[in-house]
Amino acid sequence: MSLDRAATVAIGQRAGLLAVGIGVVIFLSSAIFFLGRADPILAFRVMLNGAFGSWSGFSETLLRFSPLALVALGLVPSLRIGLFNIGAPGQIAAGGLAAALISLNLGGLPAYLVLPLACLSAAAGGALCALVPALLRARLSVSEILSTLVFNFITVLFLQYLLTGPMKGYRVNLPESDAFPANAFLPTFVHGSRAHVGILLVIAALVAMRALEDSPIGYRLRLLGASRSLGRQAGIDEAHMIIATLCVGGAAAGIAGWMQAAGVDHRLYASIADPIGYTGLFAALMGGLQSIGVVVSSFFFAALLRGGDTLQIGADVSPEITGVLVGLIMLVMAAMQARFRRAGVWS
Amino acid sequence: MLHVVRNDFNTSLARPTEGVEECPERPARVRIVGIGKSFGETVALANVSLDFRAGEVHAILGENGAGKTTLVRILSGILKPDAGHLEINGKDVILTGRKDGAAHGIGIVQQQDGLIGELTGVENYLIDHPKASLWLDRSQANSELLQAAKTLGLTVKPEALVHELTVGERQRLEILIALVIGADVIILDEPTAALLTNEVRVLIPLIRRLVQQGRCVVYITHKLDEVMEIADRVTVLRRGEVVGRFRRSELDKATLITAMVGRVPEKMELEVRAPGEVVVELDEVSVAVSRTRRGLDGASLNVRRREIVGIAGVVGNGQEALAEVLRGLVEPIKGELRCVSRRVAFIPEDRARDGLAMTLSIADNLMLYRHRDRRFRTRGRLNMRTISKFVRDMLERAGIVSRSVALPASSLSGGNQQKLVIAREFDLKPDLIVAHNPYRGLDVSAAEAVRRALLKARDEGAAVVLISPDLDDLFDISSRIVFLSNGRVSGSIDPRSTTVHALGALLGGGSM
Repeated sequence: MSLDRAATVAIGQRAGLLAVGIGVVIFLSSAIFFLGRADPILAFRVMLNGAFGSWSGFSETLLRFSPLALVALGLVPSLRIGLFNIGAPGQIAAGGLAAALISLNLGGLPAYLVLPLACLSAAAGGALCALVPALLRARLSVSEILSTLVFNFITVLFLQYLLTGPMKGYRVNLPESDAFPANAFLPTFVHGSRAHVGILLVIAALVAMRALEDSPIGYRLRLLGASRSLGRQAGIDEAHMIIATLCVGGAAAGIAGWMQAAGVDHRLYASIADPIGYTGLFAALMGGLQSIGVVVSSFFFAALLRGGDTLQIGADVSPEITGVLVGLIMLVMAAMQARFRRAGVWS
Repeated sequence: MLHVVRNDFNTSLARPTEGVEECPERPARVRIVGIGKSFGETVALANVSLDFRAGEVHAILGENGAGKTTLVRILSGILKPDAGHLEINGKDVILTGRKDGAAHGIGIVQQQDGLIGELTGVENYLIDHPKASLWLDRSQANSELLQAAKTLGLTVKPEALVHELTVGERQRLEILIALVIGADVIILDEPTAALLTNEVRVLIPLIRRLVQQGRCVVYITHKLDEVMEIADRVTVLRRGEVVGRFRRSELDKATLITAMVGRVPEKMELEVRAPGEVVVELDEVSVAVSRTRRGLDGASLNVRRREIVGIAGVVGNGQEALAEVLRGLVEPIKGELRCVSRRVAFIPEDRARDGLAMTLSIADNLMLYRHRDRRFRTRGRLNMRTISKFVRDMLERAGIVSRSVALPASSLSGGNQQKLVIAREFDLKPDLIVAHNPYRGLDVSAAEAVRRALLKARDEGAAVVLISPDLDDLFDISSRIVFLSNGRVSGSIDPRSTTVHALGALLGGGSM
């Protein structure tokens, strides 16, 4: 329903606070660049240029955007009912693994068969990875924060074991699988650019999400998120909702894993979930759990990640600094959200 | 409850209300001068002047939304006034922060949840102490509390976890903590809202003793009988303004009501109906007990159409479990529940937790049972236009005024929130109504609206279960009253042939 959105806090106030937040982020990150003996202005220019300065740079931003947005959109339903699934990294790894098994073994099939199959199995893998925490939460009230976190270790390290052992590729001495057959590659739009058709899935997810928000199911999610007790009175099966929303998030993350494997390096690698796993959660939160907002914030983070990757060459700053920036932004956002809440409270 | 009063509305308001009366023999502890406070466009307090003097019970009377709670928050230091100032013992003070009032000798005993349930009384005392340090001396704190209790002749259990105490015990503990911290002025915010009759009988002598010791007790309430009984002076607030000041000798119920409500309320005559078929029947029903509250243990009860069955009993004897099992929210673990209909309306005791989703819009709250209706859907989406129209009609019928149906439920006053709950619950023409303490926290006119709604539903053929710790409320409209104790239902009395006091004595069981 759009009614509640219409009645939010004054837009001017929000915009003002946002400007303050951006200012704080710029100031703090400049300080960090400065401490790292880099010129902050140069660093920002390099990042901006890297993300948007050229077609190839922009397509690299899009390459990061698709899986990130998918993870973030997938997390929205569960966040709406107050569940913090921080298991996206594990679910991405599980999805990537499932997709790799299909791609490597059924690569002989035509692309129109192997691609959907790989995508579906990735979704199933991700969902399966979320199912255990979901069941634990729904049946035994085990905190999903803890269980999904634990599952990250289990899944990611299991993947690493496979990639250093049974699934290790022939050619290089890295934790990587063999390259997928070309049939299993995600098609790209333009020759020479790595931006792939995954973005169509993001658009589909966005459309689905918009429809969900205005549907009776969206209402139930909102209600359950606002009051467990009223949800129960309306006859909503909370356990069912917990399992469904967490598995949707897992499936979306799984598909993101497939995108990374079949769209970036065309093979499965151990660090497949970096850095989109946790950033996806941040993008969902920063987007205010509204589909459009989530897509916009995902794009922002994708640009930041891409810009960060060009820092090494452009400004002699190691790209790990982007992790620090992402963390800083989240911290400032969290502080500002608390501020919004306080501004909105009156008795 | 209410009686027809003579219309001396104008004369009572003609009393001079500006300034503070002189009373030289009693020094003013706290003087509030021209305090004003607004939230956005809502004026909560406007130019309010008052003083609290040593050795008096000063009652502040007003309906919900009159500004009582805002005043308390200003006195505690949680809110800063927009205008005016405070004097404590003759000195101007500016209170900053929630412990500051306490540091200046203002002790506040809140409506509910003033103490932390998971801690003991001693721990709560240590936390509340303005000079609390990192190192806690429990045994000394304990003996301080016990010593203070002894001088007042109270029995308290400072070592027990607060949530294990009864509401009355918690309240006495909270008063004690305020005293030990050094309060000269004790503010009781709606102290009897959750108390039983017999616990009120303990509170009143306690207040008298505090006053004899030279302290000031500020008694904030909307209940007239209590004011009539103990107040030395009364200040009436309405819509944030002082609309009347009275001394003990001038107290008159009718005048107070008129000042508080602003008009003369009329009492609806209670007619009894002949009950019809049995709507719900509990047969030896047991409901699981959780750690903090009692369930049901073989409770039997039946309720017929066109009757209101009052459930009396000390809070915590299975009331919540009874309400939930009747509403169909929990399954009996033993026994059988037979209900001829699935249309059950529920007015829960805790409105903020079980009645409304406070952060969601008014429209969302009213769609609770309706969001599955096909008429509100076009191509899988909820149709906002039909929903708005439906919701606005509903608000109009319920007499709720709101600028927009998109505002959160929390923007409504307590009385309107309860009307919203009732509008939603009665919308589906229920056969059974479960009302758990439905007047809780409501002012006179809002409570009257709820009462009328219950009677109207009864007349239209619903079976009504009214659960309340307040015997007056039960006697007021019940066709018969049964007792709930230790999860069992017993007895059945006719409120027309028994007195409230006789029943109160029966219930209290001498457990003072």
